Amino acid sequence: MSDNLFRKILLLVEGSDMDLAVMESAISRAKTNQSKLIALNVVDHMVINRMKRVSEQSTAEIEIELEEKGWKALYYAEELAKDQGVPTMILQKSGVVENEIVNEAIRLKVDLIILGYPRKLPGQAKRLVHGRVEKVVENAECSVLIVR
Amino acid sequence: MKLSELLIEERIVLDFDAKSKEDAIGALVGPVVNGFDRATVVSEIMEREKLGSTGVGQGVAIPHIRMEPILEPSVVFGRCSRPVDFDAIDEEPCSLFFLVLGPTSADAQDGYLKTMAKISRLMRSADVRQQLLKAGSAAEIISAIATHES
Repeated sequence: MSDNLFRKILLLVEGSDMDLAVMESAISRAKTNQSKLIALNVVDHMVINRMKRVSEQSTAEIEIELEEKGWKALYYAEELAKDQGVPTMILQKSGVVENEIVNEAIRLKVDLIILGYPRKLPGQAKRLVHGRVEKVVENAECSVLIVR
Repeated sequence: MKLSELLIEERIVLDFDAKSKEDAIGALVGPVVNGFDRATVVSEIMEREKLGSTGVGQGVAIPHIRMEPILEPSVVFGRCSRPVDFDAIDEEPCSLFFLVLGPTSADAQDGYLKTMAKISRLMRSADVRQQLLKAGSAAEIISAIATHES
């Protein structure tokens, strides 16, 4: 029986290899708790700037690529969740990932944020993800669950 | 495949009348019911809608489902004469609709997800939404989408 501790769960979907494990964890918890799942993708300004430095693509082309990749991941999460009978909402934002997570969690009155934290990452990516997780944990007004 | 290539004039429904979400979905399903039961398709889409509206905001909804016996991805564009309450994420009624139907096979999933991703990305543009609201014919709808896709 559910005590419905987490009426709304926010899941960060990134279009990365880590997504599936995080999605399955979030969907399982949402099902158990009879929660609504909110899948969020953020088009990361830092990633756009990094890609611009090493790519011949224009900023607009990079944005289009990241937006479509994000939406695809969101629709995949939605399909997995709805197949399990979990009420789901998807949304995409652009900006600084950790800020958008915290702001959307507050705006949508989320009870739990679920983030992925891969075990193995190269140095720079590890620092980026670590910093992001740290900021979300520090600034979120609700519980945060890290999936590894 | 580009969205403008997936859309054909026969699958564009302009200025249909709808008083409810179910009416709107019924109008969209009309052009793709070849050999399968329209009521079943509408009912299955409505069941998915109960688990979360596909109204993505700013007057746009993208109802979608993978189901038998659909054999290839199909997109229907619809515009209704009066905005319809679609339980959208921003609580605004919807006027522009893209119905996406896909097969259930695993190898078709990627194309299905990419199609919805393209539509969602495109519909974030206020320019595109305005052009789709003002277009006077199916050909103009396809042309507006093709212009913004390229």
